[in-house]
Amino acid sequence: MYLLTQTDVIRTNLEEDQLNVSTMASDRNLLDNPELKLKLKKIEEALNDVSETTEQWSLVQSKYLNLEIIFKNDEIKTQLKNETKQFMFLDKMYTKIAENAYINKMILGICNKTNFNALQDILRGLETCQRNLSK
Amino acid sequence: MEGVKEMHFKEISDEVKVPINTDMKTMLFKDVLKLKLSLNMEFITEIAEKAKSQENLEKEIQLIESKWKEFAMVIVPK
Repeated sequence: MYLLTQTDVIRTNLEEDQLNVSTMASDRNLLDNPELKLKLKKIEEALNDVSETTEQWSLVQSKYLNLEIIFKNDEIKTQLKNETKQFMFLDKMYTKIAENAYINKMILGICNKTNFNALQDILRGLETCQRNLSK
Repeated sequence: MEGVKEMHFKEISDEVKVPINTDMKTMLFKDVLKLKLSLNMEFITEIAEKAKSQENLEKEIQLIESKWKEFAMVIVPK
């Protein structure tokens, strides 16, 4: 298993550059320059992807770590077979994303719509697992 | 004329109704003015300022782009 760390560094850099991009976007000199407008739009979208994906990742990681302790317990595995099976499936999905990120490292290659959607699905699944525990 | 691109030359050319050739593009701004391409110096100055400002914006965008292209996520094995 892998852990995403130093999210505060990502957040600080994001806040700074999202503000810079927003200031540039309101510059009147940009109005009649479609090439620059497009470049700015692309970087704005990339920063949004980074923001959404890292935020989602942090939520998944926190929920995952809480549930991992429970579902790796042998007694729980025997008593809640279906829930454990579902958790293990989500564990595989999450590990695949984290492993890929550990190898590739570069944030723009990792924080994209595909991974954001996958992390969103994993979070929903983990929330269902958690709800089923209290039934 | 620093930062002035084809689109800016076209704006000047449209205003002064004189085609701007390759030689003119490589001249200094003051030399272009000396050519009396336009009676509207204010207009050309405005275009030059806009081009400079757009060039600065482009540099700023490139800096942000490069920074994030090289930004690595810190992922550690548990």
